[in-house]
Amino acid sequence: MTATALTGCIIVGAVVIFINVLVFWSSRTIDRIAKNGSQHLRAILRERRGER
Amino acid sequence: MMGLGMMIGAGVFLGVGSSIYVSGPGGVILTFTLNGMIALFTAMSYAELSSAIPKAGGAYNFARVGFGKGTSFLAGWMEWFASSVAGSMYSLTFSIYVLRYFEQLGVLGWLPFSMNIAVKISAVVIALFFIFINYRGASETGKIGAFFTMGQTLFLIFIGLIGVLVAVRDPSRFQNFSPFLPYGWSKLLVTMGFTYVAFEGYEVIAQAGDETIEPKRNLPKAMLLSVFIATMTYILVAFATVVAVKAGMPGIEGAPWEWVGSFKEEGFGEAISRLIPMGNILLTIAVIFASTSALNATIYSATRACYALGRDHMLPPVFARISHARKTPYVAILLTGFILIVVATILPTTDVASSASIMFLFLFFMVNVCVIRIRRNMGDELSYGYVMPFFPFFPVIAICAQVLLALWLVHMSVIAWAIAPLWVLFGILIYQTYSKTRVKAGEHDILVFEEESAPEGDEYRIMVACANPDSAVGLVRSTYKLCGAKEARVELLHMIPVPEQVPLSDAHQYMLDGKEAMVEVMLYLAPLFPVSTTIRYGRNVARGIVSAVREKRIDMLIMGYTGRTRSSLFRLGSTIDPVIERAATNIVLFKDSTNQTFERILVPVGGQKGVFSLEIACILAEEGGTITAFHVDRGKRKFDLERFLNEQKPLFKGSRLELKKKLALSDDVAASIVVESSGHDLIVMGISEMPAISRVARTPISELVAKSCPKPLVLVKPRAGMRFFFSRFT
Repeated sequence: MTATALTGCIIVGAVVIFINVLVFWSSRTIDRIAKNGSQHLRAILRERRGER
Repeated sequence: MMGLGMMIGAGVFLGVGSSIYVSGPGGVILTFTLNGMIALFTAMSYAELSSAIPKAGGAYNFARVGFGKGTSFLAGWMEWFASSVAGSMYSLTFSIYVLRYFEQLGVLGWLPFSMNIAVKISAVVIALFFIFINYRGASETGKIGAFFTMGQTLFLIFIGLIGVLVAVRDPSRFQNFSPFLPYGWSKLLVTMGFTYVAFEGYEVIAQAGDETIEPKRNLPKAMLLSVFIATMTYILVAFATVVAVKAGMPGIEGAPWEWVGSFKEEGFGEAISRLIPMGNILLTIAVIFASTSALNATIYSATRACYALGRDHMLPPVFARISHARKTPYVAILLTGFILIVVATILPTTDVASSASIMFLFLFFMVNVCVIRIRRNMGDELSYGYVMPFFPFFPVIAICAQVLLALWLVHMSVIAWAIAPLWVLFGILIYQTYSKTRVKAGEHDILVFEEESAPEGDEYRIMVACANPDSAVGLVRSTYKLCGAKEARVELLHMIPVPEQVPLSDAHQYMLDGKEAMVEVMLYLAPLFPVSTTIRYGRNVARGIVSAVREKRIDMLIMGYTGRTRSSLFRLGSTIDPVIERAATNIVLFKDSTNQTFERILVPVGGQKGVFSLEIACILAEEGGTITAFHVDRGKRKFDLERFLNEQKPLFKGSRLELKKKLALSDDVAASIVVESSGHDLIVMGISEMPAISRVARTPISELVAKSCPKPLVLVKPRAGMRFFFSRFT
């Protein structure tokens, strides 16, 4: 396998995993916000502020 | 379902073959993978925005909230064209694949004209059929779309799985991937741009924003899931196409990828027809499903964009005319059909696909900018159903990628690069000459509930915005000096926010609160000044205040300020920030300074803006009081305090006020002001205006003082000129 093919395969694999994680995380967040209302949303925003 | 229908449409059928031709066997997989990632980032922006603003209109609506009517016109204008041209592409795909099947059956020999012309004629026929379906009404549209989408998605997943199975059983087919990228990495950018149109389904989902059950939850989920399913399906299908044939099979000349690529748009069909038994007929059926449901969805989407422009008077209202019999916007449907058919007839398929891609790239670029701006400016007052992680990195990455892909598309189609900017320029021209003056005052979410007639004449007008009925009287007491000094007419404005769940027509339920406060304030002020009152109900307090300032030609706006912000997304508060940014008037904010007398006032000065601070301080100070002009030098010595004060002497003429000056040398201006304030009753200072970019790195001085100083504070901002307008964007 050439270096280009190896790099390509790694990129494809990494992006596919990344997309899966993002969609899974997002879907869970949407459900939580829908369930707990703005409480969960505020918690997320507060957490972000803490990070900054 | 409709979004998925629009995505898993012709994009992949045309895109796979052409991508293999341009960037090779590895290129096609990378193209769909990386495009899927960029599409997901943009879908996250769409998901966030449509969860917070779940109204019909998609990008058009987001641009209206984020930037105003000019940008929103451009978004609607681009969306109309992009969707129409995508419709052209889908009708061409339908024709190419269906006629290819009949040609292989040998039943097209009797045609008196070339295949190319037959493709164009059949594209026009299918387009006309779906224009008619859309004219008939939405219920038919939905049913047909859902049925077709299921069929095509299952078929594509089936193809993908067969491809994987074949490759596993015959590993020698992996040799088809060699060379992985025969023409290098740069060709990837071309194919990514060209096939980007295959990922644009979330725009259709956003279009149907207000027709969804539980939109805050279902809209973002539908968008993210449709991109996810589409990306995974595309990767599988691209893989299956590359491994569908192997070197040495009968009829295969050269390397398998070269053979597939040589058919360009039809490459996918040629490969798949050899991968599965009865591949030809199954593929043709799948293309019929896919391209027609995508065509249907694009006509729907384009029509909605055109209708919205007509409805809001951005285009002539005739565009929004509704058919009496069918209740559908028939003029918008006809115009969309006209663009669709003209483009499909005149342009070659590759240029049609490239034009659609460029336009969608422009549109998504705009939405990604909108998501950043809306979260920064209005994040605290919107109720999100979804917020993306690592904000704003994903939209920023998507913006950069979309600009790069759009630019690179010039390598694929020069015609597309001529058409897209021309359409945008034409749109700007229409907006400047027609729409700008006629557009409806847009925000349908402000209701003037009780208003006395607007005063005539040129007298000075001060508006006191009483947001909180409890503090209204205190605020008005502390402002009567300003009213007296200016011999002003006073406008009292009480904005009451009405939650989204309550229709504005029922806002009278909130009437009592506002009315009581206003009557009390009126009793206090009426003997002293001419007073008129307005009670407004709206979704957004800031927007209501800004529009009232504009309508009543207010010279000075006075507001109270608590000094607390609920979110770091805002500098001074979710209502005050947008008012400061958008209201074109002198603004005075009072913090803890109501109902007091001020003997010693500290006025930090540092430039010409200090003139307005000094003027306000002179008005607020008690007779015989002291005003200290305070300047903190950071060692640069740019500001000449002595000269500045000499120029302001006329302000003090005839008054018994004492003017002092004080100069400090320090790096920390805010801290010096806070320390100096200890000997004073009040601080009057200008609101620091900083470009948005600089604000990310450091907090403006006025904000620091407002947050850390315990003393009463008055923040002022003189009426903004053009310079300030431009500084907001730099």
